[in-house]
This record gives sequence, structure tokens and C-alpha cells, in this order.
Amino acid sequence: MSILARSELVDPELFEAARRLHVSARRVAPRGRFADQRSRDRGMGLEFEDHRPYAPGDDLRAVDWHLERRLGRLFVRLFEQQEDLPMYLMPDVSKSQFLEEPPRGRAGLRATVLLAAAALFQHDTVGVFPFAEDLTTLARPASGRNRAVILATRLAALEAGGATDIPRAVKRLGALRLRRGLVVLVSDLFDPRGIEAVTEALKSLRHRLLIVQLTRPVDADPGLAGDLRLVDCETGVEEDVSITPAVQQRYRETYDAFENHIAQFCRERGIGRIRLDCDQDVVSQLTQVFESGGFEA
Amino acid sequence: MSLAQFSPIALVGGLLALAGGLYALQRLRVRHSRVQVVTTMFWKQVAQDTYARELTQRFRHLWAYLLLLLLSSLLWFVVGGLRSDSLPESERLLILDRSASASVGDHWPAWKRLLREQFLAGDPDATTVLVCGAAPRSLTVPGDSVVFLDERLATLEPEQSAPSVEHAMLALLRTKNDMRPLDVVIIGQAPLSQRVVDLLPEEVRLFRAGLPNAVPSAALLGMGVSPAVSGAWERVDLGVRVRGGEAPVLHLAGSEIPASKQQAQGLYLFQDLPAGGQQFEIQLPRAPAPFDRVQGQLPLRQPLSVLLDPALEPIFGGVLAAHPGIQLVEQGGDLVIRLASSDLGLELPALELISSDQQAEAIFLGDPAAAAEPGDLALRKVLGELALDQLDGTGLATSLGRPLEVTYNQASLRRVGIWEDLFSIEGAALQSSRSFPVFVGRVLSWLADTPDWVHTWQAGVPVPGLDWIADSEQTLAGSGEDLAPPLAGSISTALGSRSVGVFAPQGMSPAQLPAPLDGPSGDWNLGTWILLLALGLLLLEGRLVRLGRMP
Repeated sequence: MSILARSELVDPELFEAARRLHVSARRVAPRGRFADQRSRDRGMGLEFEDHRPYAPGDDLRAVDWHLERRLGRLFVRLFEQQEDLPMYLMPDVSKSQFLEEPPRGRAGLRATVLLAAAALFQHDTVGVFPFAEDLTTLARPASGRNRAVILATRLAALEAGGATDIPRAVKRLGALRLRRGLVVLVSDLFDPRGIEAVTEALKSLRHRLLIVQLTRPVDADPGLAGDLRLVDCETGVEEDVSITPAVQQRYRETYDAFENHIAQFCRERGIGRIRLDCDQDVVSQLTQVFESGGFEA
Repeated sequence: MSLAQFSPIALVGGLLALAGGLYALQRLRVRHSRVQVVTTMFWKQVAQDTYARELTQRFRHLWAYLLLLLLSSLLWFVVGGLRSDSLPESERLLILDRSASASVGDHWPAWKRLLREQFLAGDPDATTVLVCGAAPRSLTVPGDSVVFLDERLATLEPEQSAPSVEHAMLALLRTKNDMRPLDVVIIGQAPLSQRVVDLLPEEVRLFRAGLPNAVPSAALLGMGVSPAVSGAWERVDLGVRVRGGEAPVLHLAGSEIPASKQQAQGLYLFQDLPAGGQQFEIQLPRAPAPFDRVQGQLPLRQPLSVLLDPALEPIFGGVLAAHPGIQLVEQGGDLVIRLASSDLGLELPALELISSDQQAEAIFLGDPAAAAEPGDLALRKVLGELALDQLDGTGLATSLGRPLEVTYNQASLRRVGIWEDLFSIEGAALQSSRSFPVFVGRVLSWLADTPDWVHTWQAGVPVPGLDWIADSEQTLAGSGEDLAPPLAGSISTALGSRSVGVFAPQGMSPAQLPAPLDGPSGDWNLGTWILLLALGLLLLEGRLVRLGRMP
């Protein structure tokens, strides 16, 4: 049984919003497909960038004959190469994403579709790798504006997974030896191993990283009280707590430390981080983020 | 209410400790509601840093605490042996016969077993146990458990004594001053006379729990000594009463003497035994111990010293000379025979011949022990003692032409005054009567006031003159005139060692008592009710927990 109705992801509003978004890279990795992103390759673009000595095999059409006349040596003109930005989307589809109402997985998958569509519309390649306990390949990296609907349809057909294991998913992604690009991790980052294990795993990624953190106000203030046996929806682990004001205060401190850890990690590593409130409209939140300065990977 | 096991301080202290302990536990007690959450990672860390159960937190679940406190308090009361101070509706008195009968065969262990069964069949809070050996003694009081009873019974052995159950019943009669029903169960064969039963108030019901046919078929029942029928002063006859068995055998001075004759069913007579104070033993073949033998001592008869008025020598000289127990003396003496006009031996008890002008009655009997106005019964008793009833009073009166009267009255010394005329009737004088020697002998004995011939002391039977005892090895039962040796064996007296025998209980119109009611009384004690209440509360708590109404 699918986790979301198809109409929630194959949504014209999403695709319309995607057209207004632009994800740009400071520099994309070389040897990519020709697209809108500035590449470290020198190629057939319109913008002149540099000269270099001629080497056998160079296209003679690139030889700068004016310079040859002035200096008596052969130089070829180098132009900026515009290539695609590989984007690897990692939506979290673990059980915890579909516990509450509305499920935070809905916001995560809509954000995934929006970002994927935005990238595809600017001719970038997009791969989708949902994860829970393990990483799966929903769509290998490819481009094409029409892929947006295909990806949305496939995402809607996903089934909720088990427990969250971000370190394992990151490790598996790294093992795919994908071209360097932008990894977008869409998750609440509630990994039973702790946020330290998550950030430690993320450090091993050789891609640029954008974290779309799925949050809710109740994450910081659960509003629980009394003697409770809390059951982890993913692992089934039970934790008996007697929630008093002191305990609530202690919880807030713990959650703040969690948030601070993520913020510091992103700041130190130059990692993009978008906090989405799952109770609010995803499109408007992302649009606002991109319109306020865009996002540069 | 009171507690059998704890003092009031211990009770209150225990309750406070329970309340405190439960208070602490209640604070630590948590009722968990299950809540499914996205993640427990934060809570796990919080729980590690914060103790969920702290005594200093707000007190919760007051009603649950009160229920637990009530439950544990009830159990505490049970442990403390709570009992009601209100009087039970009925009481039980168990009397164990510990007299010599208990030592026959295997009576004792069987009776102890019966006592224990009877104890368990009733409410311990309303049961008293008496053990009646030489004297009644309390074994347990209401509220004592069977453990106490077992402990005290373990070291208890039968006593060679007479049954004292009747004493216990009479004591009960004196002390019972309420109207509550009392069931008295006598365990054993101690006889209880109908006379005593009739004295008991209506609310006392009597039962007997004993073994059927527990009475030994052969036993010595009693013994008595009397002056020899043959008239020999220095000899006595010894009568022995037995039940079943063969004829008793007398062991005296190293020889074995069979009974002379059987007077009646179970009554044997040993005749003309020397009254020299010898020790003897009577043995009944085939009778069980301790009723198969008894020791005793024959009486020692001392001759009486008599002063005789010379004027009366013709009348009494021959009779006195022929009497082996009388010794004529010139002065002193134990008593005197004189004319009323004589001043011989004025300080001695006297047989006086007196003129009918001086004494209205034919025979005057003076006695310091007589009541101011003695009744007919006392007079008849004295007449029997003096064998006056053997005299031909009608003949004497006819010959004398006057009615003969006898008066029994108080006097400073014992004195018998008889008309002189009775000794001078022609052809019918008193001294010519066939019974005159007996009359003289009896009169002199009465005047001398010789004590009864107590030759064999019986356990539990009062001994007149026992106040002479200087050094007793036994604790004497009773007091004053009722002093009685409590146990069989020997007892030291100023006159030497005396044997004390014990005889099997015999017929004294014993009351026929029904067997006690079988089975427990059905009354549950307070502890049982409290335990049931605690169990009910426990079930209630379990139900409330299952329903989620209690943490």
C-alpha cells in the first residue's frame, strides 16, 4: 500500500512552483552533461575564460590566431563550459515519517518532488534514493523535464520502511560512486544512533550536501505530562518517564543541543540547511527560502 | 481490642512504619500510560539524567495509598494477633483429670490427645484449660494458642493424687458471677457427684470426654480400721473395699495374711490384727498400678488411766478390771468415775452417778464441743457412740417407774451423769445388763475423747489433727480442719513418717455426663475475618489495577 495518494505528489502546484526555483552551483564537477550550471570544464560555452598553449589534438577552430600573429606561438581559446548539476535526493521514508497526522513524510516527499522538478526543469540530472533502514534506488541519475512527473509517481508508490538508519544509507550512497553533485537529505534526522553518528557519517560524503530538516513545533515541546511509557514507533523500544516540569525543561535542553549540533555541523562544513515545518505548506516555505537569496550548492 | 503478640507501643510503631514505608513506595509508584512517539532518543537521554522516581516529588495517588495502607494494616493486626476484648457469647472450660486414674495403662496420652482435640474444636479466645491433679491448676487462659497448650502438656505427668475435679467445680461455683453460658468438658474419669452437679447454675453445661471402659476392672477402693469385733482392746479389724480382681492380701511384719472373710461384695475383712502401730501393705492381685497396693499403719492403742471412787468399786470394779484397755490408778489419770457428791478428780472428765433429785434427766451428757442448743442429730450421734442405744431403756424405765430422758448439752469438760437409781433397781440394775461392759467402755472412750483411728492416710482425704505435722515433704491441700495430704507416698510428721495411699475413685453417686458436642463451634475468630477482609481488598486492588483505575 502506498504511503501517499498520487495526487499529493503529482501536483500541478508543485511543478508550477518548481519552475520559479533555481538551484545553482558555484561550480559543478567536470565531465558532466551540458546544462545550465557552470562547470570547471572548459568547453563550448559563450563566455571566454582563458588561453592555454596548443596541444596536439586540440580543435584547430579554437586556436587564437590573433595571438599567434602577435606572439608567434599557438594558443587555444578556452570558453566556460556549462554542464548539469547532479542532484541526489535522499528522502526519509522510515516509519516515523508516517506516524503523525499530517505525516511529516508527506512534507518531505513534496519537498523532494519540488526540488527534483526544479532541478530537472533547469536540465540537471536527478537521482532519487529513498531510505529507511537501508538505501534504495528509486531513480538513477538522469535528466529530462518529463522525469519530474515520473519521479513524483514513483515516490507516491513507495511504502513506508522500518527504522531510520542514516549512517548506513549515507555509506551505501557513497558506495554507488556517483559523480560529485548535490546530495539532498530530506529527513527529521531522528536516528536512534544519535545525531553525532549521523553527522559523522555525513562527513564522509564527497558530495555537497543540503539538509532539508523536517520539523514540527512538538519536536521542541511535546506537550506530554504524567507517567508515560513512551514507545518508539520504529524500534518498539519503551522508555518509562514521569514528566514533570523539571523533566520537560531537561527535554527542551536536550532538543536544543540536538538542534545546535546540526547547526554547528552545517556551519562548519558549509552545508546548506533548510528547516521545514511539516505543519505548514511546504511549497511556500521552500519558495520563500529560494526567493530570499536562493540556494547555492 | 487487644493484641496477643504485641504491646500497644509495638502495634503503633509497626503501623507507623508501615504507613511510612507505603508512603515512600507510593511516591515511587508510577502508572505508565503508553504513548507512541516518533522517537525516544531525547527521552532516553532525559531519563538517564533524571530519576523518574523521586521521594521529593509531589505525592500522587492518595486513594491507592490509603487502600494499600488499610490492607497492610489489617495484615499487621493479624500478625499482632488482634482479638476482641468483648466477651465471647459462650465460654469453654476444659478440665483434664491428672489424678492417679490418669496413670492407669495408656490413659494419660489418650486423655492429653482428647484435650488437644477439644481445644482445637473450640474458640481459643473463649477456652480455659484446667488440669486437676492434687489441686486444680490453670494450664491455659483464653487467647492462648494450641502451641502454648502443647508446650505445657509435654512436661505434664499424672500425679498420685485423688481427683480434684469437684474442688475445681466448687471453686468455679464461687467465682462465676456472670450469666454467660459455660461448657465444662471433663477429660478423664474423675467422678463428679450429683450433689455438686445440682449446685451448678443453669448456664453451666457439663460434658465428659473420656475413653469408654477406662475405669480399671480391678482396683483398691478404700480401707478402714475399727476396734476388733472380738472385743479385744489391743486388736483391730481392717476392712478393705475392692472392685473386681481376687481377694486382697495383707503384708504385715514380713508375713502374708489372707483376708479373714468377705463381708459383702467387694468388702474384705482382716480380723484381730495387733494394734501396735505396725506398717502394713495391702496388695490386690491383677489390679493395675497405682490401684494395686496401698500402705498404712495400724493404730497404737494406749490403755486409759482411770480414777475410781472407792464407793463405786462394787459396781465398776469387775468391768474395769476385765477391760484390757483400762488401767486403774490411785491418782492422776485420764478420767474419773465417781459419785456426784465426791470431790475426786474434779478437773478430769467424769462418769458421775447422781441422785435423781439433783438431775432431772436420767442421763446427762456434757460436751465442750456441743452447740449451745444441740439438735436431735447431734444427740443421736452421741447415743450411738456411747452404745446407749444398746441398753434396754424401756425395761429400765418400766422397772424404775419413771420415764428416762437423755440430755446432751454444753459443759466445760466432758461429763456423763447417770441416776444412781439405775444401778439399784432390784433385778434389773444397769450393771447386770449384758451390754454394760460395752457401755462402760464406750463411755470411758468418749470421755477420754481419743482421736479417731486414722491409721491410713489417703491422698485428698482430710486428716483430723494434721496440724501436728512438723515437717512435711508435701504441700498440704486445704487448711485448718480440712488439711489433707495431696499426693500418695510418704509424709513426715512429728510422730514419724506416715504412708499416704491413693485409691481408685468409687461410687459416690457420680453424675452421668453427656459426651461433648463434636466438631468446631463454628465461631471464627477476629483474625480470620480480618484475613478475609484483607483478601477481599487485595482482589479489589487487582480489579482496579486491571481496569486502569489504580496505578
